[in-house]
Amino acid sequence: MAIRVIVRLTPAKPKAGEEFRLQAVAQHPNEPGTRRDERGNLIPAKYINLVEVYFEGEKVAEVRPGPSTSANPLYGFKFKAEKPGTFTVRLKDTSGDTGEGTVKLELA
Amino acid sequence: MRKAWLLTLVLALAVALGQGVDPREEAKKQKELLLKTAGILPTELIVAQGEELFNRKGPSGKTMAECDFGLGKGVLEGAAARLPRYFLDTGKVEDLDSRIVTCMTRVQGFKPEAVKRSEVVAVAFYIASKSTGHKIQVRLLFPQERELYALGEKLFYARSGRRDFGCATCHVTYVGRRAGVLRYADVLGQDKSWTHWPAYRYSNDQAWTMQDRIRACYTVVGHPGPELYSLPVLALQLFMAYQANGAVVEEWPAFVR
Repeated sequence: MAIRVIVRLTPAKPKAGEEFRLQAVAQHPNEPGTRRDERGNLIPAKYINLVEVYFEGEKVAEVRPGPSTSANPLYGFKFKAEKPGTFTVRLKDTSGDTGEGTVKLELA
Repeated sequence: MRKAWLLTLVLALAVALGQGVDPREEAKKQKELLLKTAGILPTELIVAQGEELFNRKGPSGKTMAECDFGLGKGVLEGAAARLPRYFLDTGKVEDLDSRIVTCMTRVQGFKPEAVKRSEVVAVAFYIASKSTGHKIQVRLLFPQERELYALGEKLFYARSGRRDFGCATCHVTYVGRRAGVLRYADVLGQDKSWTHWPAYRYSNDQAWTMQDRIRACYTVVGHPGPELYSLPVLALQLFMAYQANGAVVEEWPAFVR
């Protein structure tokens, strides 16, 4: 199943040379593998362990989060606006599920 | 003279402590904070999930666009603001939640036990989001609607259970007072509580519709909560919705404490 991702820029339209934040929220339980269900059985680990950010097809950032991340996590990145283009955020979790979200960078 | 001053001071202090923070202002601040730091609200994720589910094909190969939510097949704009209403195809008064279940079972071909509550809530969030800015327009046209409204009114004012309690005890008689952190809302009056659900509750990370809210109310007053999609829940919803007629939906899904 695909992981749902929403990506936003703050400010939405940065000026050239200005710093902006790229933020992605994923809908994911991020099970660390240490929690137990109501019967006492371990809930198997299933968490996002790879976050990649691409700008116009070129990888500009990569994060490898561990199991101790909250459910529905938010990932934030700081960039400097130079030219307009499209950012793509790709996620992958330990079970191999992937998710993708895109956002367009337009300069003010 | 000094005694009088002291009394005034004590009174002023009591008033200040009692008033606390308006929960709506607090919710607004929390929302702004979330938008400033994350830029994305949890409701948006659920609405996105609802949209995907809406366009997902069921076992019959149909999406939810084949369903009538009161304004014709696939028309969502303002549909939620006109619910609950009587539907000729089922011969029942249905609210948003139960209409979604009807859609999933009758049109999409899902088995009733295959309908997940979390999915119904997500779709309800999506459909409700299309009614932001619309006015509540609920009618009592069919005898079934009038009958259910009468039942809702009766239930709202009825007192029962081991605490001899009812909806009206808090939400009419004791409006503005409180037992917990929040003041009792003036459900039928100025608060227009009907327009506050479905909502995301940030204090405990829950996505709730009015059905969940009513069930929670019943548990609080020491009643067994009525089942989801059951008659008492529908009746109370129709009653509250009709009372809120003309109120503008500020934002659906709402963001509450």
